[in-house]
Amino acid sequence: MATTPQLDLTFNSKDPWSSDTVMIIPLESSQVLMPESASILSIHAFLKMCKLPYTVREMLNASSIAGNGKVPVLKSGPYVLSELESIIQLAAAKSVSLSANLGLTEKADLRAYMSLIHIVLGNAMLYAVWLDEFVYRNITIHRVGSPFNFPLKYLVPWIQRRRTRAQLKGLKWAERKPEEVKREVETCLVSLSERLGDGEYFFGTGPTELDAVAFGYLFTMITTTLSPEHNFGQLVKQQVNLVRFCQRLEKELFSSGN
Amino acid sequence: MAKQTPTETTSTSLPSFNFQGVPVRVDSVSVEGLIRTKDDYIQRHLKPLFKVTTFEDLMLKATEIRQQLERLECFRDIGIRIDTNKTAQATLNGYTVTFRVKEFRRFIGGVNTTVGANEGSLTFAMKLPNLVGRGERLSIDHTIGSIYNKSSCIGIMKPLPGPWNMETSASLFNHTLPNNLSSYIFQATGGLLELNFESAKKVRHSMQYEGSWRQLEPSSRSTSFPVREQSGHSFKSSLRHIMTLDHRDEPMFPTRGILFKLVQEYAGVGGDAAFVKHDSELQVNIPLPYELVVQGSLKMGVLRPLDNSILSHNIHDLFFLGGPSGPSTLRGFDMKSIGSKSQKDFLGGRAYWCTALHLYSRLPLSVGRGTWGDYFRLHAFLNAGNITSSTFIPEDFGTTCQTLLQDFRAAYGLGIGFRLGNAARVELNYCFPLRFLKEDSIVQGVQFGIGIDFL
Repeated sequence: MATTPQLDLTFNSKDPWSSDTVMIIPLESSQVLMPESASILSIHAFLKMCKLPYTVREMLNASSIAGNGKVPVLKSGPYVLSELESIIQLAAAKSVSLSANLGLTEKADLRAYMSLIHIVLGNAMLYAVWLDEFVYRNITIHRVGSPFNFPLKYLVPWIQRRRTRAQLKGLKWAERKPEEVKREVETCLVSLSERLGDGEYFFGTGPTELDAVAFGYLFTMITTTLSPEHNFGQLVKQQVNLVRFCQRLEKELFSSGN
Repeated sequence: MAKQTPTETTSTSLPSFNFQGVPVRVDSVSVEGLIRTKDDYIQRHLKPLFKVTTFEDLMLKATEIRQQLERLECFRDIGIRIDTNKTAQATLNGYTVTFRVKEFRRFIGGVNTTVGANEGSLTFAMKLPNLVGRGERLSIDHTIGSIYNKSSCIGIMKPLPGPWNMETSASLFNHTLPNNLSSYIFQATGGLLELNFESAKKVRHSMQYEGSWRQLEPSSRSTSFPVREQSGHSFKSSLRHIMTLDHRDEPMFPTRGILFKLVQEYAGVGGDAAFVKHDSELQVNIPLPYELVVQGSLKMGVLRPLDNSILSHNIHDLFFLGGPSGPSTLRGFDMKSIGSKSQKDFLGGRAYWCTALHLYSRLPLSVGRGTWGDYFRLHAFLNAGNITSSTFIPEDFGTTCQTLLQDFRAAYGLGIGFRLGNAARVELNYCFPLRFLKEDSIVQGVQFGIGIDFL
């Protein structure tokens, strides 16, 4: 897989946000995996919070489009991006930013919490989907192999599993037991819950990038059941304010008005 | 038989001899030097010798058999010894024929340089000829190209008995081919089964099955979206038939003869890829006085996807047109540049035709004749062609034909060609594009090409 670093892309700030911006995702009903769903929902939330228009297109080869294997892929004018960081930078170049009014320490905090979510919740989902035998055999293999016939039906998931395992090994997640993963997730959720407290949003009085990412990951965890052993939804439900946060944002962003 | 008349300065003239009149009966044929080669593998080639009745036939037949033995690629230094039979069991007019051969070593390795369309590569090759004595050959190649392409292949070939020069081979390969003109990297891993035979003199057939796992990925951040849309994995399981009829006197600068090549591929025997692809080439060479040669060639191809899935075919299966050399040759235009493009990526097409007319001549005033000059030719050419991304579906047939004939491109020019052995050619041409569209990348002036296939 060619790794294409995207963070050093300079965006043209003279053109307005492209009106034919499209978000490319794998097939929702039969192909997308839980960690991908979380990223996709985060970007939906971010773009809706910024009120930037876009359409959605489902493609079987969505994960190969950007070159680094990540979804969703945002095609906006001449740019093809697949990481939230790059999309935030693109929006900033078009003078749209959710955290512009935050102070420097708050901005640093924001980044720290976003990192926390990506690292803990993101890797926990990757662990559950790829390394858990039950989930892999019953869900992942069929979803990832669904666009293909024999032999790629089994070869592509197998290769992706090896790659993910190597990636998680490097991050020291591969050797963890399910109980350890559960504990890590719980700790992260407690931390988020404390940060949110009684407020409507994590920072200030308006939504920020952190709200978009938190919503994406938490909502996906509540609404996706993988297996009895990896029931992330149960863990989120233990933090009542996080559940209310998700319900509120869902109504705010995805009700029929939007 | 020519009679030599003696002069004062020549040596004594040889008496003329009528070899047709010498009766011959071949008593025995032996082959010396066989170590691992199995006897029965050689014996069937020797049988025709027993049928000869005259000395001239004996010499011709023995030479023919020597060529056959050379083609087996098991021996080097094949010598023939014909002698009268001096043993006690000799018959009247009895002769013995002995072939002396030296078997190839069990292992031949080498490093070669190969020339492809405008790029060079280094190949590390290892061959194990005549593996178990009946002409089998195991070969392992690893090629590293100048533009990051890499290719490894391991194959085993076995000739089959019978009158059709049949051979069968099986190989496994792994290629990585970057295509910088369309900004993608193509990787293929798979296997190929082949059955090659001759159905008539100089008509070769190759029936192939290929099963390969292909991966296409964008090669840079600036790869355009139409190319990105085709990236991903697919498995191609296809049957292919290649027929080549080559009556030319030589492949590089032929002076007479016809070449007709037909390639048909059906992808869809399982796997994800589903398409039918036809490609054909016709080349006619006519010799003229003053050692000039007129050459006309015509190439056509069409690819028809068999379903609407995104996996049915990708940009690597398509045809391209344009360039100084290679299968997409159209002089006067940039490599692969004709047809639809997106940003700076060339997208190729599903149907194409191209034609060329050449007038070849040797170097004037017999410059270097007999030595280095023979490797050069001068030529004047006119080439034309067109390519389209629509394909010949029944509803669209008329429109596709019209599109192909309407905006065709053409260029003419002069140039000089140089032959690299029997395998490749270098051309330096001065081109004048004649018909082209505004957005085409034309080459007005000098164009250099190096490669194996040319139009």
